[in-house]
Amino acid sequence: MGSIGKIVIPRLGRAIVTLWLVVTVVFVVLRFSGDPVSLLLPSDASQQQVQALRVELGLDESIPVQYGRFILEVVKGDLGESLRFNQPALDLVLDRFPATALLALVAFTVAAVVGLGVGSLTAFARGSVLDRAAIALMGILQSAPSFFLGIMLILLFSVELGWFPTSGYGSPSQLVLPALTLSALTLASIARITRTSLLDVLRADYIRTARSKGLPERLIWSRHALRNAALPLTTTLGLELAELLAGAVIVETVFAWPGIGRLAIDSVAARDYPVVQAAVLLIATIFVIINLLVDLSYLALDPRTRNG
Amino acid sequence: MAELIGAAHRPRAVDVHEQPHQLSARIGRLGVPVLPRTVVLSVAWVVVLALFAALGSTVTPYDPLQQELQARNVPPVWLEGGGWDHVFGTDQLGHDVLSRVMVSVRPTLTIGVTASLIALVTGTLLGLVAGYFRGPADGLIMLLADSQLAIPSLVIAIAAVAAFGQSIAILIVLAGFSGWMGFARTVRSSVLTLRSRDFVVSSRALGADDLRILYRHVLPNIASIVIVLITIQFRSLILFEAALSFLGLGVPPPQPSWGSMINGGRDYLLSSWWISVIPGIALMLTVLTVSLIGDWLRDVLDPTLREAS
Repeated sequence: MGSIGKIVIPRLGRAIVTLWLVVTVVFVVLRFSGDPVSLLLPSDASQQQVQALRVELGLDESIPVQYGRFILEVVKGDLGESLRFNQPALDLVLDRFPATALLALVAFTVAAVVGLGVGSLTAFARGSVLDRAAIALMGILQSAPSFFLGIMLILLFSVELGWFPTSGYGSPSQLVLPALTLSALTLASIARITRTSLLDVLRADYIRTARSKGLPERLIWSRHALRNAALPLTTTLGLELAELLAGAVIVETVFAWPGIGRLAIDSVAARDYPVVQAAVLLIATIFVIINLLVDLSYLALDPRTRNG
Repeated sequence: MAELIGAAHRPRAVDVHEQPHQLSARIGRLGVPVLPRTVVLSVAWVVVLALFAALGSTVTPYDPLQQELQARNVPPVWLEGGGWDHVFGTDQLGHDVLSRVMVSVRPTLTIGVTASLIALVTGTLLGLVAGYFRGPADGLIMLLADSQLAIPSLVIAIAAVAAFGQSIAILIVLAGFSGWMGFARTVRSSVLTLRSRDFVVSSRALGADDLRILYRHVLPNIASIVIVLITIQFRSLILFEAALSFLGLGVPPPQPSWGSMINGGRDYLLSSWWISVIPGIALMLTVLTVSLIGDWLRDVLDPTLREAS
């Protein structure tokens, strides 16, 4: 128990420091961008409204007091009211969460399955035409910005072929293009890393030993190669899931997908700052939690890291 | 299946670096590296971009902001209805697409270059301090780097643009401070290994002070890895700017940029696909050429960085 605590607590501490830094950045940005009241009220607000909001926000207090209050409010989940919808900002953002989660999880599943498949296949068939073609395709996928890739997919599958709708939310056919677009970059990195770590593992001494003692190839792969190659992959998979969430902000805009990212972007345009703030804090929190889980799962999988 | 795997692997699973890299530098007769053709073409594209950025709207066929209402949605020259007056066609407001693609280079390169410099200078300095002096500074710098790496810069950018509004200056600051961590971490780990090398130890034994050791021994040894990192960073900062401009948070209008042009043409994909696709191709070509130059520099400067391929 004591040793588990020794491993978990520093990582938990780092996650909390990260969250604290994000909250501080949001506070600093809000405070140094001019009068927050002008951000929070429409430009035709009356003098009384301005004064009332000033008192309500505690802007007559000193900066350290305001900072303390801000952190307390964030911890309590009180992120203010949306200026457009007269609803708590956090509720609005949480309402959109399922759409983003659905998109990210489907894209992640596609990327993981296809990426692991392509990565292992190219490692098996190293140096073949298939291997080279796959590497070239992955290179192109990695340099295509997701918003441009999305537009090319719309042109091909919606405009030319008419197979899938260009945008929208609700039916499975509307999920295909956004999920494909979002999965592309992740798929390419997973394939590349799978291939590299499999090739690395295959050079290891224990593989040579397994071969020299006459272990069948099938068992060498399942007992030794895949199991050891899985270690670096776990880290990658977790971090890629976090990256996917960031990518979702862009893909949601391309396909008019009603998730957190699109809400955040729409709210910037509408100057609905409390909603932007709630979305930013929620995405950051999800990120930090995923990172923490990846760290901890790595510890569980690899006994060597437990003493460090 | 097991047969096939065995045949493919047994004799070869020794060295992952055995395949010659596509872009590896060959040494010519005079000892000067022969440039691969892809690198020559990539450098040529970057030079053309630099010229567009320097000359701005003086060399564009049209004023990029001028709307020509009689010539809206004109297709590019190779399509029916297109003509040589608008080689890449016009957009929904009658702007000349070629002219807008050309003037978009300036903000893209300005932001990319300045932000890369900010990231380079802050990241390298912090990495040097962390790796060379260790102690609490090291802990603090690495904590900051890890924390910032744990949060997507795009998300921080959304909050900042919401508060400060769109401007080139904000973009430079955001991009610059989203890229320092890579430099800091890489420089730190190189310095950590350099510190215990014989030439540094003996130099210190001979009485050299920290500044001299850093300047004479450490900096020259990390130069090549830093140069490679610059190309990687430059590429991702160009993508960062394009993504923000696409989302309507980047280069402020009416100044055109590739990202905002791609976004602007989204509603016209059915009829006038070129409005989005032409700037998209320009962006992809730029990202691809910078990557190719970076790969080549990596192979020439530091073969140990080469990825197993």
